[in-house]
Amino acid sequence: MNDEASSSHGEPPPLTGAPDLVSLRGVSKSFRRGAEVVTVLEDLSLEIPEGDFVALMGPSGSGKSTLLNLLGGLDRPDSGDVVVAGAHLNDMSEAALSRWRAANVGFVFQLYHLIPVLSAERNVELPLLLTGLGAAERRRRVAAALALVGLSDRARHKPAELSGGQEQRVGVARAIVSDPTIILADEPTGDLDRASGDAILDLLLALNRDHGKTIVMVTHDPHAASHARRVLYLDKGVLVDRPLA
Amino acid sequence: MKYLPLLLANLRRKPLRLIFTLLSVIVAFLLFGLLVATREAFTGTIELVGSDRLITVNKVSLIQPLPLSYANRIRGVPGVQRVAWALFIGAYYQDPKNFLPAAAVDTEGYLGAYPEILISDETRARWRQDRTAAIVGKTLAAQYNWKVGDRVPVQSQIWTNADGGHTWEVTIAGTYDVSNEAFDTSSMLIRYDYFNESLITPLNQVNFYIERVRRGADVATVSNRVDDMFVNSPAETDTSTEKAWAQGMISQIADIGAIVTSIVSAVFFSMLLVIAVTMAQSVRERTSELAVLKALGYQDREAFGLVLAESMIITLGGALVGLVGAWMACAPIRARIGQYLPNFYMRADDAALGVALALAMGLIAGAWPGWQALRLRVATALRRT
Repeated sequence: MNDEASSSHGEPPPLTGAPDLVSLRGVSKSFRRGAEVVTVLEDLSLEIPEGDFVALMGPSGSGKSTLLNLLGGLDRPDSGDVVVAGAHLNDMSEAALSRWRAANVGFVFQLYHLIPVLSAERNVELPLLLTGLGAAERRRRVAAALALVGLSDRARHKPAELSGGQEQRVGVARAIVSDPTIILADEPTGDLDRASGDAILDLLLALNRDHGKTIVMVTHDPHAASHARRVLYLDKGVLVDRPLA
Repeated sequence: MKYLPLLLANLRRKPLRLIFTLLSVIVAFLLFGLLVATREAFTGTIELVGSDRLITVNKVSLIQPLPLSYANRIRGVPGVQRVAWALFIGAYYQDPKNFLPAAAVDTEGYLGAYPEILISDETRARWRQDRTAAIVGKTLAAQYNWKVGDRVPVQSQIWTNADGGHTWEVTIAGTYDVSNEAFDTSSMLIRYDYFNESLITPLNQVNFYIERVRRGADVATVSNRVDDMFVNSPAETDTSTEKAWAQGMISQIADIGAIVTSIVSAVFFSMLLVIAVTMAQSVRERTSELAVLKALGYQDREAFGLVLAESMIITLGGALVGLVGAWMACAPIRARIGQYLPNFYMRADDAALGVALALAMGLIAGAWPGWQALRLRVATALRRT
């Protein structure tokens, strides 16, 4: 049902034998647009093993972002089961989903979505405010996350004082600072030039390879997708064997 | 506390908007503070006046005098312990603009009726010995730097003396203090006998009598007995408790409480709309940021709380500055108008009411934008950006 693409960046081969971190069974999702009902995902089933790095490709409107939202507990399917890190997301209340997201999911957005009035370190600290960590420990973890993305010297800078690539690196630091189980990246290089985009992709690759983070990345860009262990193609709400021309 | 940097950063997002909104709140609560001080100046001391004193005035009006001869007849009414009287002088000092709250009173009777007036034995003796002597409240003495023995010309806008002039020379016998804040310390008390006898024609009339009621006597009964005694006379009387009399005097000016409530309500309602619109606009501008916070794991109630906290910081911060400003302004204002309104100050419970109103305003103004933040659907909001 899904097609696995070989990588061209020397990254590890597809995982075999690892337990599934993500399991989708018969998931459907549709939206109402006026009087019209638009089906975005249809009877979709998918497993992603722990430690995998999956690129999700497909044309606009194919359901990639919707699938990412379902995996992150930001949206609910009309039918089917979504199980991530052992949690049945369908059965959870909004409050429980929020708590689960805080503990398990790191988001990286195409447009970075940093809070413009906060410095880089304050932006990175945001997920940690939801934990019971003290200020000193929060500062230590923020410093570690910023060091990991190579932005220790930009900690006090506000987003407007950073380049696009640096902003996205802050976004990655924010996604990993709480040590989530899974990182969901929605077009993380979509708003960056090639060099900055490659830096972000290398960062994601390192997080997967060196830190064992499970990553699901939505992208239009075959070059970005080539950094993943495997590539899934979505078209009209279903996973297809190969990309459309 | 850990959310404080986020809250403050959000508030500073549009500095000019924050400054103008804060200024609006500050001015509203400054106005609130000064208005409650004004109400206090007019009505605040009514509750504190003596409940065992009656005031008898002419039934027609306070301006119409009563014969001095009524004093003995009132003294004979069962239940009346002491009788005193006072005549308004309509005085000023040096310039008609310098209104002087002066009255001609019977010295011993007046001090007996008002034990709240505190004077030293020496001052009492000087007042008793010298017909031209007057005692002055400590505030008034301090205002004009008057000392014992000073000769002070008191000019009347109403009365003419035997020389055809309007000036009475009085000698300062000393100052008085009060044991009850219902009484002001900015008046001058002249001896009635001196004033009355030096008029071009002795008046032998007073503006009002003060009756001290014996302990255990029924105040209403005594009051009726006094008035019944003068029914169908040329100068019928109207006797009431000092509290009722004070309320009647103030109600002749205006219903200060209603005026203050009306103005404050209108100002606060406008303020509520201003803050609510500001907060709604502020939340609308950062829909995507709130959505991202929720994506990071912030719960609905935390998004609601952050918006509400911002609203309350604005109202509470502005209110505290406004109330402190009003409190600080009371002293200089009182210094200027103390002779007319000596009790111009903001009470602690009024300040607490102001803080409570600020909290309520913050809650109400932030409720709708907060609700919008609470109801925000992350996936929908992020799709829009």
